[in-house]
Amino acid sequence: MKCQKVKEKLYLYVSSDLSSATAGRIKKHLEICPDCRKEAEEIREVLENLKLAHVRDSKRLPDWSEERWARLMYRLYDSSPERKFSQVTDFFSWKVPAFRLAIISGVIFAVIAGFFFLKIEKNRKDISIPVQVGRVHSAADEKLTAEKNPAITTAPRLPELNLKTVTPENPARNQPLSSAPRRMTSEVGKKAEHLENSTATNSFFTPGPGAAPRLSIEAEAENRPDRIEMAFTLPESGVQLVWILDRNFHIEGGKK
Amino acid sequence: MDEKEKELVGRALSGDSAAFEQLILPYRRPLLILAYRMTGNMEDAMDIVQDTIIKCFQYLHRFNTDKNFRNWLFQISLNLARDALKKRHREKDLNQNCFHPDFDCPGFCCGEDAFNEEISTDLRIDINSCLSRLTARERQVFILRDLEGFSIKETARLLRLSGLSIRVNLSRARKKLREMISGKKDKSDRKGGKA
Repeated sequence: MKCQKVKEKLYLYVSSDLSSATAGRIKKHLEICPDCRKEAEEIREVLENLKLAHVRDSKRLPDWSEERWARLMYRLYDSSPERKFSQVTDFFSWKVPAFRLAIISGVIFAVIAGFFFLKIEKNRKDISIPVQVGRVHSAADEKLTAEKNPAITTAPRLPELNLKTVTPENPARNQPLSSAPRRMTSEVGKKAEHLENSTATNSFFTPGPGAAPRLSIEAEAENRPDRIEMAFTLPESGVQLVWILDRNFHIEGGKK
Repeated sequence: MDEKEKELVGRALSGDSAAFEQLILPYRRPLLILAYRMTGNMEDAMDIVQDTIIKCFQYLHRFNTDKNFRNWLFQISLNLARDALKKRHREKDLNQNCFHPDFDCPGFCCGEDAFNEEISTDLRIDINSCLSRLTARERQVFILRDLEGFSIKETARLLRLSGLSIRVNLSRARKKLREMISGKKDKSDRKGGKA
């Protein structure tokens, strides 16, 4: 190693701030080079003097006056509530890593979305085949009914023109359901009763003042007459067609 | 961080103000000296230490007790000192304030009383004046490594610099200081010879 290179590194060598390999090479060089050795000693001495000067000077520096220190401590104790506040606001300040804010907003969004999803699901369940007495099924109703109860799928699709339903005399039909004598002894009947009560609280499908109260498809099957006649009057010709259906809406026959 | 300090930190966090004072008291003086060396002005140093203690009090809950409390405290102080220097453009003022017109070579006070000092050399080194001749980074590195006794790794962490950068700046600072002191010594020797 050349003297020039060694002298450059001596400033770090004297305080052992070099890698062990470099320090070893310099040490070997210093053993054979008195000039570099002298320079290393000189650097050490300068550093020692500077440290001594620092220590001596530090002793002479003024310290905190007790009054100033007491004032500072008082200020700290006095600001204790502020500190608690800073702990709380710390979390929401911009210094908080962005991912934490992202997680919080994600959780809030998930909760809100979950709430709406559950609400919609609940409403869908509540729909549960809203068959109304005296009302003819629409195509959508039929589809929905078919999903729920395959037994009903055989019901014929009726024309939507000038439709009129004729039912045989049934005093129970003409009375409000609440006062009508009903056979609610069976399990199906109990279910129907329960459903009828529950519809009162359902804002989505609460029938209007003139509408007949809703019953489930099973309950209606119980109350339905054995034979249904349905008459259609065609406005162009004035011809009346009558369909005769059984209680499951299977066509039994017809007449003109 | 020793157990006693950990306990004091815990007590201070639970609202014990006396524990906080006990925790900070041993570092009161070292912090003041560090701030003074950085700024070269006692009033500024006092303000910096005061702000350091306030910040320490406010953010003590963030402190990781597995780490060194002294280093954390010095880190706050260094940041504040650097901010203060930037804000007040102290770099320029510091150089002007510490210049000694009596001597050709700055950094020494060779007054009559200087020879009565206990230092082995016949020169009394004005450390602040010497430091004022260094660049801001050289000064910070030299203060932390040589005067405060931090390792290269700790200094790098405190100043947020690489180890290589610390070594380069430290080497330059030592070289400059040595040249200042050697130059003055030569002049002093020449003066003594003439007399």
